[in-house]
Amino acid sequence: MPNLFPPAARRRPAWPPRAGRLAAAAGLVLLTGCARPPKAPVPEPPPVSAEARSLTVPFDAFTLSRLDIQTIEYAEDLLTRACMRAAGFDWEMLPPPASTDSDPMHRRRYGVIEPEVAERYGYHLPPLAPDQRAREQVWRRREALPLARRRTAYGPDGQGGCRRTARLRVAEGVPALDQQQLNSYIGSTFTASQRMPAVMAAFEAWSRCMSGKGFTYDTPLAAAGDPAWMKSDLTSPREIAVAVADVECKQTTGLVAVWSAADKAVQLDAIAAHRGDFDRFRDARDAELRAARRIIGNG
Amino acid sequence: MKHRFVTAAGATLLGISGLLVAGPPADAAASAPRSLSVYEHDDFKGRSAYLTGNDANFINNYWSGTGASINDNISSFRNQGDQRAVMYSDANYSGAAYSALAHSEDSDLTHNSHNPSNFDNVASSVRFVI
Repeated sequence: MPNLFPPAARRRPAWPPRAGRLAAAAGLVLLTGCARPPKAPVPEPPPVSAEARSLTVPFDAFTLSRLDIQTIEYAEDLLTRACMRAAGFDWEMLPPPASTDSDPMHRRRYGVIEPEVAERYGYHLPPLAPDQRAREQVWRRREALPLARRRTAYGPDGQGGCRRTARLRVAEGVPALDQQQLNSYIGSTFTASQRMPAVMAAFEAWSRCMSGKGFTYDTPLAAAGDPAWMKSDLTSPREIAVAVADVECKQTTGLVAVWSAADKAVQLDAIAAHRGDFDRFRDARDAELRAARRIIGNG
Repeated sequence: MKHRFVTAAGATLLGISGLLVAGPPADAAASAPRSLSVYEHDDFKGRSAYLTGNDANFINNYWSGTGASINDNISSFRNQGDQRAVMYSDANYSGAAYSALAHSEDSDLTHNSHNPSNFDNVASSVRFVI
């Protein structure tokens, strides 16, 4: 237990005895019953590397980025707050959309590719960035709403209330998105990219590189998914060693560039072959974003 | 209520937020931001599992009441939560990202006959979008 009083205070109490006892009792309560343990400072995550931030795929033109999602969620929150206030309650808003994505969606698409992430966290996730922590805290507080406020927000079954009203308002006039179909293209093209000869050759080169460092994996995704990493929330020295070797071998073999190029080519082929489907995906995404921005603009 | 918040915050730091909605009243569970049910077969049939937090590797996550892993074995899902979830084709949030919109469902991950290989029996990790 940390010593909360400086040495001088401990040698010569400054308060009268009774006040001192009361203060001591209060201190004991603080230390045992009500006080929270001192929080360790949350480590800052490594900044997103230039390579990780540069990763894009053609399907990005048809899907929502994390910042887009934040925009839609902010619009939903504005509408939720108005609805809740009309019912006599307040509603804690998520922070406004960030200007820069602190954790881009494709950052781990080809496994861990950032040296600093590998060195500090292996295959485990880095700590949340400050803006993510702020959002996470709001989400967590929503789990603990008092009953009346919770029911007003979510309805008695959790699927209605002001939240549903807000979602429906944002979705007004937005063409239906066949997310199942879009997801199917996402899955099938990623699988196809791994079967491209250039990617398979890059996997072999990467695997040979890993063998040279004493590790046996066929592909980077197999290394990332090694069940050994799941044994603890803490990163083991071996996990760090494998992750660092993984990133180094990706760099020496040029694997990310090769795979990313193949990934893009396969997706472009899919878009060209199914233009109508992708036009509908883009129309739905753009309409939803326009609606969200309009709501935010009306504040 | 304050105590619950402190508990939730502490558990979140420990990465066990998913455990917290197991016990609250039914309507609280239903309104949880993170509430993703996954199923072994199409149309929400077969064995199921309930996910309420990030999971980096489904290999250690089992169909309810069984010792069978859900890894590479999910064929439909219902996201009844308020938060979007992203399922990944590979462990540790790697590979292709499959969106599960808030309050949405996908009855058939083999959907789309143009693409015989898709997300059916593929998902290996999940992360809720914040």
